[in-house]
Amino acid sequence: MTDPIDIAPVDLTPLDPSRDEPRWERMIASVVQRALTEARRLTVARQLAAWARPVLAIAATLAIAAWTGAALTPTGATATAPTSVMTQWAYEGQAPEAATIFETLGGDHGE
Amino acid sequence: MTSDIAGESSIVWVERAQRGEAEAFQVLARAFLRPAYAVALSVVGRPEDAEDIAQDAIVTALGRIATLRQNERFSAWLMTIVRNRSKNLLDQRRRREGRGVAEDDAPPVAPPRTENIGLRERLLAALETLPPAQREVVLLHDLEGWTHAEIANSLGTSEGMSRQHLFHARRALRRRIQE
Repeated sequence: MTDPIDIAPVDLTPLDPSRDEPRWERMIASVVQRALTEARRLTVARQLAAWARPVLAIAATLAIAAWTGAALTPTGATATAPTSVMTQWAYEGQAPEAATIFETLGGDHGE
Repeated sequence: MTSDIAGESSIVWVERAQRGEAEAFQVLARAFLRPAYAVALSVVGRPEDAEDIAQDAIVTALGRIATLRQNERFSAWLMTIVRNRSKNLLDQRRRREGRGVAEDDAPPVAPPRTENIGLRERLLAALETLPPAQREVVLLHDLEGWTHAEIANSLGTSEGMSRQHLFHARRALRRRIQE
């Protein structure tokens, strides 16, 4: 049976980096400062990422809704467009009143 | 010892660090910088490189501590970061040496600050002759005072294997120091 107690440990203190205590304390302080900075930077990045996801989802939903709406209502939209209305008048030989023409064109009746 | 730090379980300190408490960062850095150095030294063999790796690994681990899911694994997680960085440095060193760059061209290494230079260099040379696992166990146990349970947790091995490594490492070190 090999028992470590059988062999006394070798003195490894010459390898101890903390023997130079002021230098070691400066090292710890530097590490803590860098770690805190890194943690705060990553926290902000995570929060932005957390905000970005729902914002992107909403934007995507709105884009899809706008595209779908445009795709589903082309007839209605076209039917009320001035060009379409006036083409229809010309095709049917109608002569609408000036007020109707202004209204169709979106004018303010000269007011 | 790493299971209890400053009268609290290390898990409590990890949780406090995850809440961004600066004191917890301080406590964890103080508790783990030396063990991280010991593990790095066991791989890279140069104290100056080991210090740099230990510092960077602690900054990385504490910086990302909010992402840690198993708080009781902080020590093992940190030591994995240390080992990976140490191996990366070794790979870089080998590539550099493979390209024929002389050791003299490497960045200058600060001279040791101890009056005990002879013994320090002999210890490093003796450690270099040990297998990596034995180096890590003897440094964590005899320099850092870790228990075999803590070493086993960090290395992902058994306590029995840790004892075996320690036995062989001590015997080899003693023999080589006395040569």
